[in-house]
Amino acid sequence: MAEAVRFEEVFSDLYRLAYRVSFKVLGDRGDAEDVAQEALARAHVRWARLRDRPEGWIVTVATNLAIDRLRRRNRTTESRGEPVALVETHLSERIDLARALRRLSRRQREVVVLRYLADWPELAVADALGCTPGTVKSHASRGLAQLRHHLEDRGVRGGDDVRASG
Amino acid sequence: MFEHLDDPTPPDATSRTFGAVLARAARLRRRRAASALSALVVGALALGVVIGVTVSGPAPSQTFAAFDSQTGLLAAGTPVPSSDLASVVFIGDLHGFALVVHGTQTLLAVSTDGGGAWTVADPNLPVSFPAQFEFSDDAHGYLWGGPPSTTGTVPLWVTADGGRTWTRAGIGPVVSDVSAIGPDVWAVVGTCPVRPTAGPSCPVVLEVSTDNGQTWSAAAAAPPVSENAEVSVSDENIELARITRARAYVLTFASRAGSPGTAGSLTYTADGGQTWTSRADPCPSYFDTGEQIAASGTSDLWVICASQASAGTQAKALYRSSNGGIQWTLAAAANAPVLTGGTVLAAAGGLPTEGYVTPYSLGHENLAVLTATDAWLFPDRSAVYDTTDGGRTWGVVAGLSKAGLVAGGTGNVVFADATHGWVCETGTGLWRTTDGRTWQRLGP
Repeated sequence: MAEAVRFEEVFSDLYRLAYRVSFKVLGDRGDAEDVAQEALARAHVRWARLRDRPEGWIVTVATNLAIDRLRRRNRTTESRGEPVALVETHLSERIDLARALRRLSRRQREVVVLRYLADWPELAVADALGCTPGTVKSHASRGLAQLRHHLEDRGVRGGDDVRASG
Repeated sequence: MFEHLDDPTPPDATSRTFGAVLARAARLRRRRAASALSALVVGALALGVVIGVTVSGPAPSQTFAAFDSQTGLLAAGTPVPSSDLASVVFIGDLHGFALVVHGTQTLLAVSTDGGGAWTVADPNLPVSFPAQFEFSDDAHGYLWGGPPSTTGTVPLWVTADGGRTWTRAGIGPVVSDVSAIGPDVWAVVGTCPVRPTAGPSCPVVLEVSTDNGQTWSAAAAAPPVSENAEVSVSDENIELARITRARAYVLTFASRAGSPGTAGSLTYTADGGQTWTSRADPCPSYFDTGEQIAASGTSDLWVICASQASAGTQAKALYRSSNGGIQWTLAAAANAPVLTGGTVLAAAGGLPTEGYVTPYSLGHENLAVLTATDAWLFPDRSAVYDTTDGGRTWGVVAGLSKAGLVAGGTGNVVFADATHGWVCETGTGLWRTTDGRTWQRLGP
């Protein structure tokens, strides 16, 4: 039986992963660090169940937390009447990305975030999620199609990227 | 894809980050427990069950939620729930100090009633948890350890007003361990800054103060040991076990990546650091992760040897010496052949395999030795254990679980004397004994 992974051993890698996807959604270092810490703390609480393949769970939680954080921040910014462009250069793009990610199914979101926000290769995503590369391809394809649809509607730069590489 | 949304210089995951995550995890566990309790109470009330418990004051969950929700720097005197304490020390049966992680700050809390009530003394300490601290009386204290600075220094901070203000001591660059007996304070200091990569070991020096840490001078002779500066948390590789004003042991160990075995060494002085004598390090080489030393008297020593940890367990061995480290006897072991290169120590029973001791117990002392026969052990992610036969057998302290301590967290156990002791489970709560046998949970 494979030896279970200790939280301490993989902490740095998981933290970097959570931070990367959080920052892509949030664009703010402090917020992304906070979200990454929260995701890792939640993982620590349920580590006995996660330790074999924690990456998929971590990216899902970090992405969801980041989306919630962005939504709250956006509401606060709007209520203060601050012009969005002054807050963060890519804010509207990040908001659209968050909205598009929210519409994906849980599995599609895991695959899309690991594959395209964390830039993992297909085989690594399959290994992390405990599925076959074919399943990853399938979820990635459908997830990308939906992401492309939502982002193209808004003329977002990421939508062009999706079309080019998808 | 979306590379333009990346952070070009993402932050590293430091030991401070790790400590913050552990503190958050402890709070999450506490909230879960509070929610489960609330659900139980609501369910019982819905079923018409009469609960024969008189509740006065705010529930623990309400109190810590209110404390956690406060933002920014807290004012001195702000009440701190005992469930938010991270680590405690006591200088008597009434006066205690605690480190508390609150938001991005590490603060110092003080209690004058034996741990029942805590208030903020300093809302923003100059060192982040996991840090080490010690007080010699209700005014004079010492704070060190925690994450190194960007230049690799780990300074010592001194207070003379009960922790309200701190002054940086003029010693360094890396203060590894400190021990105060009255106004006499010793500090073992590494002479190289902490490095992120491998490098040669550095000698250490003993700095001595006789005025509560206000002024310092190097001892006549340096302990003949070196430190491995390739560590991220400097407090984990050198230990100073001070027995009297003149007698002390310095234990160093260094687990180096890619090199089996430790570079452990033990040295001893009986004349205030004028001369040093090497002693044998009892730990076998396959305990390649860490060592921890404690003493109950001038010649009674306890050393715990630790291997790599895995899945909540860790191979450990306890060695005892009754002649100041000249000879050692294996008292107990927690065997795990897969973690000790296939070797199984002969000692029967003994230590618990569950839980981690050094070096995973950041900022905590796991072992509290009271006498040559009695000691307490709180490995991280485990229960609290005690022994009354010199460490040969260890048992879970049932009185603590009866008093509500849920095994599995991290924390420290300290004793002010033979009967007054405290167990702090980080971010969960504080328990006290006043007779050395029975325990009660303190405060909210």
